[in-house]
Amino acid sequence: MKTPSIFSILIQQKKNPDFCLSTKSILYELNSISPKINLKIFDFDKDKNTVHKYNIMMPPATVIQSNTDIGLRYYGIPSGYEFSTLINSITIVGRGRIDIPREVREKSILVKKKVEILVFVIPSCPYCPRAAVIAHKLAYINEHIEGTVIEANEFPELSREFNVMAVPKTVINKRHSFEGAFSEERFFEELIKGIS
Amino acid sequence: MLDLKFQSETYNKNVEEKDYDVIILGAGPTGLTAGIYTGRALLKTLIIEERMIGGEAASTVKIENYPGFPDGISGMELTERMKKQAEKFGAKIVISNTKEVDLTSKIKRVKTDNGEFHSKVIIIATGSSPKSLNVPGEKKFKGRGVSYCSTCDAPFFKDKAIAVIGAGSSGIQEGLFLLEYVKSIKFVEFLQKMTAEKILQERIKKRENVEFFLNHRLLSINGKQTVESITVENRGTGEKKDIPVSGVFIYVGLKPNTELFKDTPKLDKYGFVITDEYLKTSQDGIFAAGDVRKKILRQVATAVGDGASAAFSAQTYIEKLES
Repeated sequence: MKTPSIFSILIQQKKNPDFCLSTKSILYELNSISPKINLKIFDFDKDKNTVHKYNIMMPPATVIQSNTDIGLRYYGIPSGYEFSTLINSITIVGRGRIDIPREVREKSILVKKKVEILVFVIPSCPYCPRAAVIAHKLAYINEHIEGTVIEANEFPELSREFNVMAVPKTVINKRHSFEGAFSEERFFEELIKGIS
Repeated sequence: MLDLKFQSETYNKNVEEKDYDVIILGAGPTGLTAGIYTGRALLKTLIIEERMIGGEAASTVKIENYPGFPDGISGMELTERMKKQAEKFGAKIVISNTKEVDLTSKIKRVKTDNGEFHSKVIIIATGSSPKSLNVPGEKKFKGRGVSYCSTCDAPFFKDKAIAVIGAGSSGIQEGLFLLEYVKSIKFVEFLQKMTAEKILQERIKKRENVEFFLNHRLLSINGKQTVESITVENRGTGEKKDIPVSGVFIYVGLKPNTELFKDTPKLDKYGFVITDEYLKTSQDGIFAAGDVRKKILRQVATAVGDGASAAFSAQTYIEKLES
């Protein structure tokens, strides 16, 4: 990695304590094997300023950023196949460049509206990291796009709110959704449908 | 211990080279095995995968009939090991959509989202995908009760009654996994008997919360917002029946991933690539292996055999070209 990644997590012990502890454990282990990852842990209850600054909905939340917040969020334990999402997203930020088709990159830069991408995943889904990482790639490219990945099992109320019955399920600006792991091109086409 | 499973990001940075001896389309067990063999033959090898390294096998909960693993092994772990082995012998892997192929020129061309690659030989190992039934309600409820991936969607049907369509090995194997979550399963099988491996049949018959509708055809998947029931027809008597279920998992066979190939190479009427015993296709320099080709048994064990054979044929072909 060329650039150090600042890597923050919001922990709260009262709600979802097991999820928070598992997440913390994974992040500590990851931090121990790479000195280039700067890990900071915050308390969801006590560090209100941080929670507000990053607009954190619930714990555990993982924010992946460089010098500034670039809209990459992961809610839940990044375990199973989702560990690869975490690694890929850190790699995106650390390398400072991403592999994405040129056409998608050029079009995504032109998006000027605020876009909120929610990708629901579960750790045993081998297809989920693809959708999750595309959301993070697009968030990295364009400051108007936020890429939020949510572990569907750990947040059942949110999953019910968005009728999640299959993963990966992607929701664009809370009004357009699609299931499946698409190519970057197809994913971006769906994103455009959600903001048109 | 953390298991570092990198996917697309870490691969694509290493494929700036455009010219190869062999390009393998597909990184399932077939393509990865072919990569191991062509790598060991010191052929410059690129494996291009569209979706997921490991292919369909990677989403299989447990593979129990692949030799060498008496306790079984998860599809992801097995294919992860194959991937490492292929890379160890020099094969490069890129995850990218393949847009277009030119299989008829002397130098083959593969156009992807990550640029165009060239090779002397192509091994088609694009595999197959779960087949749809195209019954009313299937498309409407896809993602809202209809699923083709138990490892992805089983948790959403916790303590619910579901149906599994197809009582072949895939249907029963995945059904056994689903029983860890769901309340009960109604198996619907078109044929008069289960076609699953006998050992799987024995296991499922021991379970109390399963029911079989053999010789039944699925007519429709019904509901308002989500799946509420299925309608089946007894193929012997013609009797129709509504079965209340909240989810439907479909395992009714495979369709070949050959949309990319129009007239070349030759396909059979179901779309599978026709090969000879050397896994040569109708087109010079193009080989096909694994689930994508016309064959009698599609398993990981047969896929790796195909991969090895196709790699050997590719090596022989290149040696003749250069002699």
